[in-house]
Amino acid sequence: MKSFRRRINNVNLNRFRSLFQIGAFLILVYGGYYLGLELGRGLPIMTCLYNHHLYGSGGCFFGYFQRLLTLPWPFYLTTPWGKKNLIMFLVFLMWFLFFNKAWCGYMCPLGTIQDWISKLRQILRVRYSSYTARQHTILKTIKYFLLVCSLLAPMAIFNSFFGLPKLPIVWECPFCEICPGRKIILLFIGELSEWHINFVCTDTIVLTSLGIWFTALFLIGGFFKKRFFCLFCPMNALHHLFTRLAFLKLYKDGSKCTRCGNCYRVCDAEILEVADDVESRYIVNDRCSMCFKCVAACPEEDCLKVTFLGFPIFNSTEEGFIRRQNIMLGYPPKKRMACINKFKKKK
Amino acid sequence: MMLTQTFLVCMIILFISTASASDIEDVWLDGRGYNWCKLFLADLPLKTGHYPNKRPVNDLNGYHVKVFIHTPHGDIKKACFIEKNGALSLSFPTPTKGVYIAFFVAERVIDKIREIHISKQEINGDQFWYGKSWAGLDRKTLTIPRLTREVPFDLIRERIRRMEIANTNIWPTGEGDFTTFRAYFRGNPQEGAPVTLTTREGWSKTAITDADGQASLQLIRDDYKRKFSRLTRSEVMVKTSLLTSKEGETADGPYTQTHYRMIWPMESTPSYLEWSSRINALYLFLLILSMVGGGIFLYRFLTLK
Repeated sequence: MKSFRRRINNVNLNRFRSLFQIGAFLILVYGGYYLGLELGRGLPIMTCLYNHHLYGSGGCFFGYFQRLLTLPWPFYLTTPWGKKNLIMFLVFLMWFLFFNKAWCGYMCPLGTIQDWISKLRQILRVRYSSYTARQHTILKTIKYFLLVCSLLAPMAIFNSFFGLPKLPIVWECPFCEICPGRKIILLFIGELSEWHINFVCTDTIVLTSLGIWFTALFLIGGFFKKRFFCLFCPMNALHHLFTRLAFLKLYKDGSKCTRCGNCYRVCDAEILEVADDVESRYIVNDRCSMCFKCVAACPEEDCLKVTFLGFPIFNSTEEGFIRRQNIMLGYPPKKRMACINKFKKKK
Repeated sequence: MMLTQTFLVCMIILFISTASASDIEDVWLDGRGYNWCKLFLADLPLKTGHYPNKRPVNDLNGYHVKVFIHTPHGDIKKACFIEKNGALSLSFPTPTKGVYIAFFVAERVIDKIREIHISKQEINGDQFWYGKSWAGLDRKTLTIPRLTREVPFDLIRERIRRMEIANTNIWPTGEGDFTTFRAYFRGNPQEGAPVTLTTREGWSKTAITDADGQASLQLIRDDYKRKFSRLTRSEVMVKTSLLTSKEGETADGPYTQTHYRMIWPMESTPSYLEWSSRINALYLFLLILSMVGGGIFLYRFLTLK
């Protein structure tokens, strides 16, 4: 058991994560059609609803959630449609209890695409942008504003807020209309039909134009800033509301932290608290995508810890840190082994 | 005078009602009468007439009628009509996921021509939960003709993956401008069969099947006479026919020719190209991309300086 845990703690996280992301991407984007996966819509596998390759094998929960809210108030619990959506919401909660925000870091197809764009930027040797705390606060406000709008607009289709006029049915899934995933993910199945501006009415013109705006921002922002879209993704915000309830958690032992700043430097979301905050135990920020790069970059023994239902599954260790550093520096396997042996002797 | 007029009006009404009862040409299985309250039960009312004036059928006297249900397992089951509120309706259980294909066949011999009227309807089984309708749907099976001894003539849709025209019970995606059908007769693609598509608004177009049995039809802007939205789905009737020189004899008497007529009610969604612009989206996308990307480069250039 000890040796098994040591192996996990020494894992090359970057490679593991890349492979996991590729696998998840293939399953989520192509699995419905090519692999014949049929998980049912009760299990939100969360790829784009407009991906016709899915054929009902599950879609983005956020899209379903918005549709649930289009019902008139009394219909939420009384109709089969409302009950079904409510059950789906509970299933989503259960799903989320397992994965927490690691969904964003390991499975989200949009997140994976952003990581690929970042790789491209690295290859082209373009430096990435960093945001100040104030800019992050603004983006956080936008994120929660988008979440609130995405949930309120569908409600206003059949219900009136304070006597205000009801919205037309085109506001059924407002975030889906502007989500870049609808355009980008569908490109991977050769589908260009979502790249359009809908001239049916003013609302559709506005929504589809915003969709094009967001897609362009996603691509250009993702190129200059790591995980740019995650900074204002409402799904990320929704996840964060339930993060404390989840089984998968990331803890920090502040007494072991030397504030070396390694974790901050590798963090895609530039979360300063992970390095600075030595008092809080649970350090998952609303920007965190639980990629666990911080754990892999931490040289202190058991300073950062990933647990599932209280059982540690991935800890920061000195040995793991050295091993990963050697791999990152491109040392050949022999030299890597020599370094590890030296470390063991020293210990 | 008044009495004569009343008599004439009564005679006309009687004639129209008799004519509609005996004319089986436009009898078809409607998929719209799906009873959502009953779990896994398809309910297809028998209708006649064209869309704006479609009405239920209550009498099939004088015709030999058979109904076949092709299940997703590949079995063929017979079914019968039941009377609901004075109208005939075909009800059958659909417990399995997948597509059930119902064939309504009415046969008679007139003027030594054996007329076989076929109406086809696709029902997606296990679809009480609306969202599940795709789950059990194996689209590949939809492109297989269902040919039997009683119904040797069938019409199928091609390009199922992008379903421009869909059955009432199968969610349409409405992409593209063309829809393609293929006619089969006794296991082979049939050449020369006219395929006519008529919309609710009365727009109609006919294409003749080629050597591969294929006929392509394009839905054009003229189809949409009223202001449509993306959510507007129009009812569409697809008809095809085939005249063969097969001779034989039935209980109605001998015949020298067999005339197959197939009618298939569906739904169409206006093509994306009718209400959206991709070129405008591309312009906007490139504009934003160049503005934001250029802005960042310029900012970096000035800051580095």
